[in-house]
Amino acid sequence: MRRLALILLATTLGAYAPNLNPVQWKLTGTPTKLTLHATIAEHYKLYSLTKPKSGPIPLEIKVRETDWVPRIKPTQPTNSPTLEGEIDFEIPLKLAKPLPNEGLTLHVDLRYQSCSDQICLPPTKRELEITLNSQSK
Amino acid sequence: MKLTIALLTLTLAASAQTKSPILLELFTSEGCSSCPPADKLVESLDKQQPFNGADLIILGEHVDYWDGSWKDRFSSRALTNRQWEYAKYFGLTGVYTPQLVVDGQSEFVGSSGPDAKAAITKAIKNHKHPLTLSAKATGNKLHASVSIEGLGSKGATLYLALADEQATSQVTRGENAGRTLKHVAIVRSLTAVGDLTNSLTKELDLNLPSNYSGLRVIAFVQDRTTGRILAISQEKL
Repeated sequence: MRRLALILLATTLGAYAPNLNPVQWKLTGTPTKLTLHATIAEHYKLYSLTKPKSGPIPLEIKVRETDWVPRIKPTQPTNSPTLEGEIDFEIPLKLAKPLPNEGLTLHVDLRYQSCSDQICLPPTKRELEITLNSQSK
Repeated sequence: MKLTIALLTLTLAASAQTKSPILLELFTSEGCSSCPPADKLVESLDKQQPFNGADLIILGEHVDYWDGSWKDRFSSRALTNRQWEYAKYFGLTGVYTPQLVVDGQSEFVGSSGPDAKAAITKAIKNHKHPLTLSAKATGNKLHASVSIEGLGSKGATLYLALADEQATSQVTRGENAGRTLKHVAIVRSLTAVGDLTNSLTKELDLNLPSNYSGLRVIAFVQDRTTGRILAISQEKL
């Protein structure tokens, strides 16, 4: 029983139930700017757009190209390799053509990796969609 | 004095007979920075066998979804798929590492000693069916004989796993770059041998894995509906 106590002492205490969806995303926007909002659960970190030195997969944000929206390179407000809490990614838009009357639907593809201090989740893909029209603010 | 020795012998024999074999499956990866503490916990449990009523049988199952920066030489898609099967059994929306699964019935963060203790203590109370396993290696072939009777299951699968006794890796890239990682009971192959409901006797010939040093042969029966491990036995070559 002493051996068991020693083993248990040497291992993680206070493990919490894994959150298998620790990053929530929300996409909003206007014809001049998209805002991608990430909410990262407590205890978790999201690897950022800045490629980490030692291997984790960095965040990828890709706005699918259309006739209206050429290739865009999103930026983040910090150079930190990991992100926690709440964060906004600003994506400036410069439309190549006027908005169509029926609105413009854009797709944003995300690929990211998140870890807590106890577990890591596999690389995750998400697809977000937004329709912009002249009333979008 | 003689009586004391006899009683002690009887007690030890009874203790050995009543030990419940329990399967611990660690889903891990050399490319995952959270995994080394779990590898260490499992290594300790394997070596120390600290539960009086349990014979802990370990399977280190290396998943392949961390192979981007560092290719884990023990990883396979088949083991990743097995972890996803467990996700379905447990009603989880995804997988993670390190994850420890005990007897197919409990899952938790693989580095959590308290969770391991609770799950193993619970698993000791569950009845297992006797399973007879014998295995012999000749050249690069393994001959195994497995026999189980009176299972009474609605549907179960017999698996045969071959696992390296232990291995050490010097990781040079990825999240664990610069670390020396030690593993035990690393799965080299996991074969679904056949389906059964009640009794089964099977003779098997398998290729031995390359470059193994010390091999464990583990046969176990898993309920296909619940994921529960119904019978298990291990031979060390």
